[in-house]
Amino acid sequence: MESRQDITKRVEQALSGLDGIRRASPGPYFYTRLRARMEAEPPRTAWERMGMFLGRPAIALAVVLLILASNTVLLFNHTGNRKAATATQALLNAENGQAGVQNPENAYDLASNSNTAILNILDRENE
Amino acid sequence: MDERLLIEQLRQGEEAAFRTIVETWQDMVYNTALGIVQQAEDAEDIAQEVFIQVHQSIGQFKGESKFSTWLYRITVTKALDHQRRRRRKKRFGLVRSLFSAENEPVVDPADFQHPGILLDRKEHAGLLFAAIRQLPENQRVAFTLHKVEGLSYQEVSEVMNTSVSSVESLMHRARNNLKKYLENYYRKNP
Repeated sequence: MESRQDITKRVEQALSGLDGIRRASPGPYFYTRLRARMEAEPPRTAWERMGMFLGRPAIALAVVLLILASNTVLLFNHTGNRKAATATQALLNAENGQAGVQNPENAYDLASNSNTAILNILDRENE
Repeated sequence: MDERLLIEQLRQGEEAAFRTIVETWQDMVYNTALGIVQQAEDAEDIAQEVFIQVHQSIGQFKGESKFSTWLYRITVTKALDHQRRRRRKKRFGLVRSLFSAENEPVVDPADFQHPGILLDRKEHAGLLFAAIRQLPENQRVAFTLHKVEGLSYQEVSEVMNTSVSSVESLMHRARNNLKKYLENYYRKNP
């Protein structure tokens, strides 16, 4: 078994493994190979670049999450509007002496009349 | 030749300027890519991609940083992208191997030898490169730029778009992680 000192010494030696390193070169005729590749691969169009960008897993995932989030927000807003319309109708009914909404399913039917109800209130206020 | 003049000539589409730019900076780009991906063929591919991008998007170079800094940034980005693609391919290959008998495994460059290493340090350097592969990306980039490309902390901070103190911290953590890896290795392989 190696002593702790030996290991430390070998680690330090390994860490100095890159001392004095020289730059590597790509080999001769790099420019010729580069030109050949550039001629073989025409420059990408803007659409191709956009496709590649959207095709990245992180970007694609972000787009999917964004769509899901916007759908969720729209859904909640829609539900919220319906509840508000139902509440308005219930108030109107109470004002007119009618019974409140007993059945929750009917509440959704009442929502479609909410605009008319609001217009009626406005007319009454104007009178 | 004056760097700004070359860039201006490349903007105007002069091929001679492009050739001069490639020949001036090809070693720097190739060596940086090689330090990160640790495979000669991949490093050459990346170096070519870097110069193709330079040719196509020289208009985007505003001259706010040095041209070499811009080149380093493109090279590092492309080399890291290459590494990520390689890791994804490796993971995918692993999953595929569960369902298929015949497939080509993605091999890690386990015994990478940098051609610029001094002869008496080859063994240590090989082990050190294997340890560098285990580092997180930021530490790997900082360590490679400093040790393989010989950039100062100031230059590394400009390439990585961060402060000098952040580079010092990255280097400190990189060195600690490398020590841990090497100690482990020597304990298991006395």
